[in-house]
Amino acid sequence: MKKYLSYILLGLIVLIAVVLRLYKLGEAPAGLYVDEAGQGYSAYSILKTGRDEFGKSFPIVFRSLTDFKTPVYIYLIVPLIPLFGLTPFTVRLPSFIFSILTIPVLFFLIKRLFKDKQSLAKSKFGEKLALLSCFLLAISPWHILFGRTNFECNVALFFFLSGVLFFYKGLEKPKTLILSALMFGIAIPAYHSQRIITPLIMTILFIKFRKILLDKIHKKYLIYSIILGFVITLPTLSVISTPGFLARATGLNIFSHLHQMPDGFIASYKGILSPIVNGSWFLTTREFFSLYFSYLSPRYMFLLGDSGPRSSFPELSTFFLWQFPFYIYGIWILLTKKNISDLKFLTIALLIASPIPAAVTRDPYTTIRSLPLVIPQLIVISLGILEIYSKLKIGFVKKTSLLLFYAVVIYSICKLYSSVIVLNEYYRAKAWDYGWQQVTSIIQGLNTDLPIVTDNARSDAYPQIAFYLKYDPLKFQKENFEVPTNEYYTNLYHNSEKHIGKIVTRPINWEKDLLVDQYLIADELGISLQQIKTHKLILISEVKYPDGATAYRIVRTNPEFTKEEQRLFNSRKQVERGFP
Amino acid sequence: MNYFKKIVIVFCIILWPLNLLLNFKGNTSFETIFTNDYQGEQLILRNIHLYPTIALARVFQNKPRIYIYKFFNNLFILTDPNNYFFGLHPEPIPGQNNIFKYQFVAIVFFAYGIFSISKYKYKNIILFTFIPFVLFLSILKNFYGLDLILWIPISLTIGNGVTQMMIDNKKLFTVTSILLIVFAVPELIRSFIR
Repeated sequence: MKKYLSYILLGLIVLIAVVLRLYKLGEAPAGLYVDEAGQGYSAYSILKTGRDEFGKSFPIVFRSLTDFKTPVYIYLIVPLIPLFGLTPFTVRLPSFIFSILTIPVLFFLIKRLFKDKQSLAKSKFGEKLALLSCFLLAISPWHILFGRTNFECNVALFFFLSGVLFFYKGLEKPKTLILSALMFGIAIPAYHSQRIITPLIMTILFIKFRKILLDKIHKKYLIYSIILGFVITLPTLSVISTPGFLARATGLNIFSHLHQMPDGFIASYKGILSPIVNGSWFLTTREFFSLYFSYLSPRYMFLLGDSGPRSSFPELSTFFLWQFPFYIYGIWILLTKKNISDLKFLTIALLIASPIPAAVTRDPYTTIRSLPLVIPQLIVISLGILEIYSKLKIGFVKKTSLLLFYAVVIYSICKLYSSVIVLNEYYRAKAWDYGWQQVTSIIQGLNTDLPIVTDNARSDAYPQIAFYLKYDPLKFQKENFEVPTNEYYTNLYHNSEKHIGKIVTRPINWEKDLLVDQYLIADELGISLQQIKTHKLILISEVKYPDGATAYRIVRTNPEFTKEEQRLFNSRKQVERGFP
Repeated sequence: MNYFKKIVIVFCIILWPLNLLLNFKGNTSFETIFTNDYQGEQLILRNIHLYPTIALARVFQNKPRIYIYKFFNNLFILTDPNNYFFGLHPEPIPGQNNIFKYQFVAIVFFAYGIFSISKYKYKNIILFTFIPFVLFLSILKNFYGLDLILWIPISLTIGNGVTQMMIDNKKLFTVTSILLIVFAVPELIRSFIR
């Protein structure tokens, strides 16, 4: 029984993780963000036609809203649609599945890092650390957020971590190196930041273990692995220099000063010392390091968190506040404790490498791009907790602190409920594009003879409409030509007008649209109450956010009234000009 | 080499007093975070009705939370390396002159100083000044300008880092020092331009 205790505990931890991620999956966050809907509809299109909505057969990166989304997540949705339908639950399911699978991978990885440490084997330090790290990952707000929503970074993290695990296993069983290459090979196209982290960690691991890898037994499998890795990444490499592939990187990185000057740029200064004072060599270097260090700073980790409304929960940071002293102590232990060299090496390597892709982009503390950092930071916190606990000598103090720990954990789980379910639904509904499900169900009940114009002046909504209406992808492809398929990755033209049967998504043209008998759909800014009153529009329905604010209005135009108004206006003008 | 070390230390620690002298904008006050916060209380009242029961709501939405948040907000700013080396970028305090306190390359010496603090003869001065000062400043509503008292322990730590690195690893010391001086030049000029 004792032999299997750690596996039983791991099973319990996985169960907790499942409950925390599966509860209201697809319902909370309420709404479906445009990127989620876009990925879901691309997957639906692949399933039905073998092509995406722009007619490209099995793309390497998905054009979508001309932001060229990574492919792995979308292809993972495809087989789930026949099982669960085209629903928000389905598009978020791969995130859930892979966030759960990451937990045992982390367990076996940490255990493996302690395999050779005889001195620590007796106290089962490695096993305890593995279980605690897995438990903290199971209740981590950072990991839960990306395990409940459609974000590719979580899936990528699983493949990346599995690659590391199989690499370490491969040091003993060389055949496993092939599995490692397979996992790393999938991780690279799975998410943008992995294009930097994975090769970087692979290089670091190779340098560290080059003697083992280049010996007679390993060499053969190393070559097989390199070939396999190359074959898997070949499609990605084939489009690596296209504008589509580079679209995200060029728009966001701190080295590009086309749209935004570096932080600290003194625009008012044009003097002789300008190349020094405003030199990009100086400002960009400083900006990179300031962003980089923010990922390791307790202020962001335990208090501020990610400022993005979709990449954070209200009143909750990326880590729980109570973990702060353990993080500080854990860093000290990581750097000073003996007999943990393998753990120390990998944790430090991950701590150093993980923030790099996020730090080269301008957004402050973006948890999506730096998700792999959750692993070393949780290991550090676990290390701090275990070390402090092992230092407690008196039984009573030990028991009391254990009870206190349980109480804090229960409070943390309740806090998750408060932030993820209660507050997020109320405050973040707009950020999650809440309301399109209701809008599409209203659309289905409207007069089918009349056209519908959906305003997209502020944000594109065609993915949500096509998604919820389960619009035939073949028809969509025919009605919405954007670029020839041979220019799919190279031509960045975006056709903002989309046709979904009778529905067209484009900015409302009030002058022309009021003269046609049709439905108009827009948010509160697009169709105000004043406009309804002025143009005598017929209010069909209003969709409200959970806080009571108006999300969308659906109105029917009144062309007779508009024409009459125009006629009166013209005649008044003529009278003013002196014509009878 | 000792002369060079002194130059490096001066380049490391001069920025904060200089920037404060040249660019001091704002009010210093000893008002604490425990003053009444009407907006914070209203937000709590608004949030309470979102929970299934009042009892549950009170666990997460209560008055002490306002002060706890303010305290930790100050504490984390005062212990954030970005506050000292990067003018609190990328999330500065809104409406405040977030000055650059140390040249950013000095963070290397600072880190080195912390990890070799056990060898330092002034370690007790650092500990017994930094911790109480930080706790005191954390309960102030606005510690702008008053936080200069932390210049002493932080500068001592950096000084210790410079000295220890010079003893332990001369090559690393030379490279870091050259980088520090190269990047310190624009930083110092900027202090006068602002």
